[in-house]
Amino acid sequence: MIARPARLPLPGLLALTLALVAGHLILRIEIAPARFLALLTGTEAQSFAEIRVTHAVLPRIAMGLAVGAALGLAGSLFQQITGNRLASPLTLGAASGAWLAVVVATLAAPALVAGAREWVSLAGACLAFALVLGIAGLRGLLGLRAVLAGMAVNLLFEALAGALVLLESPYFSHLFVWGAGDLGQSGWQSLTWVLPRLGLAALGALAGLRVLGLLRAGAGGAEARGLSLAPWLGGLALIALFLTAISVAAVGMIGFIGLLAPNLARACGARRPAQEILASALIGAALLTGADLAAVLMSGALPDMVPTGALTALGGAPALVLLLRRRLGAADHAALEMPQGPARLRPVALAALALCAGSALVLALALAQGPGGWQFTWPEPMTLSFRWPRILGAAGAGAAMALSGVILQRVIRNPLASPEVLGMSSGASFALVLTTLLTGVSIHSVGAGVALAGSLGVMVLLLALVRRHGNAPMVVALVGISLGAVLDALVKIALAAGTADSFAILGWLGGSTYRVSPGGALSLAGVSLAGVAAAWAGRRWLTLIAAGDAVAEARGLAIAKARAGCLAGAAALAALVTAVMGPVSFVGLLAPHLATLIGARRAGPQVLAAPVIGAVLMVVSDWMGRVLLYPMQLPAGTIAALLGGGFFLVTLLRLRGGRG
Amino acid sequence: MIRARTPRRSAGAVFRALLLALSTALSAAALPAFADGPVSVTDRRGPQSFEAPPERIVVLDWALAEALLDLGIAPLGAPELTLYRDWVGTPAMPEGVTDIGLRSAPNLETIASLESQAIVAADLSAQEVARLEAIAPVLVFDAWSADHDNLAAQREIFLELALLTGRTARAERLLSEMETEITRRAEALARAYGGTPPDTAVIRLNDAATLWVYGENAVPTAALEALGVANALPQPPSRWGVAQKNLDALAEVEEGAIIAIRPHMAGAQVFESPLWQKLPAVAAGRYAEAGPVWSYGGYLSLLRHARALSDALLALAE
Repeated sequence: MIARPARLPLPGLLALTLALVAGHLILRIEIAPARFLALLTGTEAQSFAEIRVTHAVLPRIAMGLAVGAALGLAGSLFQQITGNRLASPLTLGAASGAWLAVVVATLAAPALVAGAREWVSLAGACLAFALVLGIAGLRGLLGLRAVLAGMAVNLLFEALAGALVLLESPYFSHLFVWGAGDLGQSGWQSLTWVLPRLGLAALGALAGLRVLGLLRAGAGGAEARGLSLAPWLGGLALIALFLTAISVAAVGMIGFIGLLAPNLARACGARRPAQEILASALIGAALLTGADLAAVLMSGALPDMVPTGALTALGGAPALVLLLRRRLGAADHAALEMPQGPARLRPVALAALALCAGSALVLALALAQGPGGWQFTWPEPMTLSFRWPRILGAAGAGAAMALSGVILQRVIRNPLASPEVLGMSSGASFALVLTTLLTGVSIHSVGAGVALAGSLGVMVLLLALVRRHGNAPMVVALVGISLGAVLDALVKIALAAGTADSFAILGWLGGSTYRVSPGGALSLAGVSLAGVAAAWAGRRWLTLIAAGDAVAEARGLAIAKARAGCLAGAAALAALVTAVMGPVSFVGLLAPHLATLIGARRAGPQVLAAPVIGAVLMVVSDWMGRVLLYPMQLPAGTIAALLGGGFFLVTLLRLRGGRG
Repeated sequence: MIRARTPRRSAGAVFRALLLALSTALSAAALPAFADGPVSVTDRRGPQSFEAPPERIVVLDWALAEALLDLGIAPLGAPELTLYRDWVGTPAMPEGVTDIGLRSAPNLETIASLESQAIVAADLSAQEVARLEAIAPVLVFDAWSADHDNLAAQREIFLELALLTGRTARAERLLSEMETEITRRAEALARAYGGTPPDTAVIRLNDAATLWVYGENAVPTAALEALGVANALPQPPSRWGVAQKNLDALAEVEEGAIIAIRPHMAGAQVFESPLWQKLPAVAAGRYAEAGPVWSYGGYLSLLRHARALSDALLALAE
C-alpha cells in the first residue's frame, strides 16, 4: 500500500461531532443557558428540569459518543486484523452472538445477567466469532467468505433468539426495545460501567498499534523480524470482541456503525493504523450521535419511542452500498468451493433419497403428540385436513426455495448465493412488513402481489448493480446483506412497542405453515412443480450460464436475457414462499449443495434432486416444530434455520478440516 | 359501561344502588337456571345459535379465559397456561384445563381432540375462523382494536358469554357488584383525599430507561376513570392502549401521582437512579405500586384494576 501523506480532516470531524452534540442540547434542554453552564461546572441540580439535563440528556449524549466510539474502534480493529473492509461486529456475527447469549441468560439465569452482563455477552460474541473463524479460516477472513459465514451465523442465532422470545413472550417484551438499540439513560450508572471498560480496551488497542503497522507492511515481513503475530492478533481480536460485547450489553444491538465508520475513515484519508483507529472512533461517535438525534426527533413526533439502533441500520445499509461498490479488491472476487460428491447420481443415492422422502411423509402424517401422549396412527379425516396443507405447503416451500437456490448459484456463479442471502426473501418480507405498518392490515393477509413486488425490486437492484460490476460476487452479497439489514431495522421499529402485535410479526418472521390454507399449499406445490419443469427444460441454459459468459455466448445463448429470466424466476419463487408462509432461511442455500453431495452435479439432475431435498428438509422441520414442544408449535422456518444452519456450519467446518 | 365519574355521590344514591344490586341478586336467585333450551348469542358476524348452552368450551386467549372463569366456568382448553399462572394469576386457572399452545398459534389438533361444544376466540381472520368451524361451533369477537372502545367490547363479550352459558343472572350480579364496589372505592378515595384524588399516571416499568404508559383504550385507564381519577399522562387511543416512552416522559406528571403495575422485571433497577428519585411525583412521595394484574384482561379485570389502583392510591393518601 502506498503511504500517501495523510491529511485527515480531524478538526472537521471534531466540529461535526460537536455540532451534533449541540443539536441534542438545543433540542432537549429546557433550562436557561446560564443555568446549564452552572450545572456543567458543578452546581447541584435543583428542579427536575435540571436533573433531567444532568441525568438523562447528558448521559444519553455521552453514551452515544462512547458506544459509537467503541463500535468504530471495534470495526476498525476487525478490519485491520482481517484486512477485510466488510469485517465488523455485525458482519462477523459477534453482535448477534452477544445478543443471543444475553437472551438465553435472561431466561435461564437472570442473576447472571444482572451481575456479569459483559461476560455473558463476551462469551456469546467469542462463540460466534470462533464459529466464523472456524468456517472461513484465517485466510478466509480476508474476503467474502468470512462475511457470508458471519451472515450464516447471524441467521442461525437470530432464529434461536426468535424462538426463545416467542415461547416466553411476556417475559421478553422489554428485550424488544433493547434488541433494537435504545440509548435512553436514567443516570450515569450505565456510563460509569461502560467508560472504564472502553478505556481499557482503547489502551489495549494502542498497545497493538505497532503490530497493526507491521501487519500492513505484510505478515511475512513481521514474521521475518522475529515477531510472532498470532498472539497479538488474537489479543486485538479479543479487544474488538470485548468492545462489541460491552456495547451490546449496555445499549443493545446497534448495527452498521462498526462497519461504516472505518470505511468512512479511509475515505476521509486515514492511512496509518493510528489514524484509522482514531478517525473510526470519532466517526463512529458522530454517526451514533447523529442517529440518536434523529431517533429523539422521531420519538417526539410519534406515540411510541423510536430505538436508535434501528435507525443506524436504516441509514447505514444504503450508505455502505454506495461507499463500497466502487472499491472492490481482488479477494472480493475469490471463488469459494463447496464439497463435491460423486460425479453422477447413482441408483443407491436415488433410492436413499426416495426412502428419505417417503419416511418424512409418513412421519409428518402419522406420528404426533396429543393430550394422551405420542401416537403413531393414520390421521382421522379432520386431523388430516389440518395436517395436509401444512405438509404440502412445507414441501412446496422447500422445493421452491431449493430450486431458487440452484438457479441463483448457477447464474451468480457463487456457491453461497441463495434467495435469503441475496436479499430476495428480505425484499418480500420488507414489502409485507411495510404494508402491515402503513395500512394496519394483519401480516397474514397482505398477499403475494406485495411480496412479489418487494422481491422483484431487489432483483432489479441486483441486476443493475451486477451489470455495472461484471457480476462480482461481493456486490451481490453486499446488496443482500444491506437489504436484509434495512428490513431488520424496519421490523425492529415495528417490534419495539412490545405489544401482542410484535409477537405476531415475530411469529410470522419464523416462517410458519400454521396459517397455510389448502389453496395456498396447492398453489405453492403447483408453482414449485411448474418451476422444476421449466428449469428442467432450460437445463442447458443453466449449464451454459454457469460455465461463463463467453462460453455461453459462443454457444448462441442471449446471456443478458437468460440471466434476467433466471433471476426473475428465482425471485418469484422466493416471493411466493414468503407470501404464503413467511421468510424461510437456509433451505435455498443448503439443498443445492446437498444435491451436489449425493452426485447431482450437472444442471439436469440438480434441478430435480435439490427440490426433493428441500421439500424433505422443510417437511421434517415442520413436523419437528409441531411435535417437539407440544402443545407449543415452533415455526417450520425457525427449525429449518436451526437444522440447516447447523448442518451448513458443520459442512463448512469439515471442509476446512479436510483441507488441513 | 361504568360511568362512575361522580365520586361525590350522595348517600341516598349509594343506598339505592345497593338496593338495586340486592334486588337483582334476589331475582336471579329466584329465577330457575336457564333451561337447556336453545340459546342465541351475537358475535362479530351476527347471531349464532346453539341448541343447548355449551358446557365444554375452549378459549383462545387470556381475556376470554378470564371472562369464562369469572362466570364460574372452567374452560376445557386455554392457551399458554404456565404463563397465565405467572402473569394473570387471578382468576385462578384450575388444574385439569388442557394447554392448547401459543396464543398466536393455538394447536388445532389439540383443540379437536378435546371434543368441545364451542370455541371462543377474538380478532381472528375469516380464514382462521373457517378452520375452527370445522372442529366445533365458533364465536369470534372483535376484542382489541384502535377503532373501538376495548372496554365496551369486553363488556359485550362478557355478557354474550354469560348468555351462551346460561349465566346472565350471575353476570348481571357480578356487574352490579362491580359497580357498587367501584363506587364505594371511588368514594373512599374522594374521602381520603378530601375531594378529588390526584391525577394519576399508570405505567409498567420496562427497563432502566423505558416504560409503558397506559392511555386511552386500556383497562388500567378505564379503571382510573371509573374511580373518578383523571389520567395524568393521557395517550392517544391505540389497539392495546399503551405507548412506550423514555423515563423522562414521567416528568410531565407534576402535581399528580404515578402508579406502576407489577411485576417490574428488569424495570426494578430504575429505582436507584437519581432521575427517578427526582421525578416530581416520586420526590413528593406520590408514587405507589399495584398488582399484579393483567392489563389486557376481560371485563371484570376492570374491577381487579380498580381494586389494585385504589388500594395503591389509598396507601398514598395516608
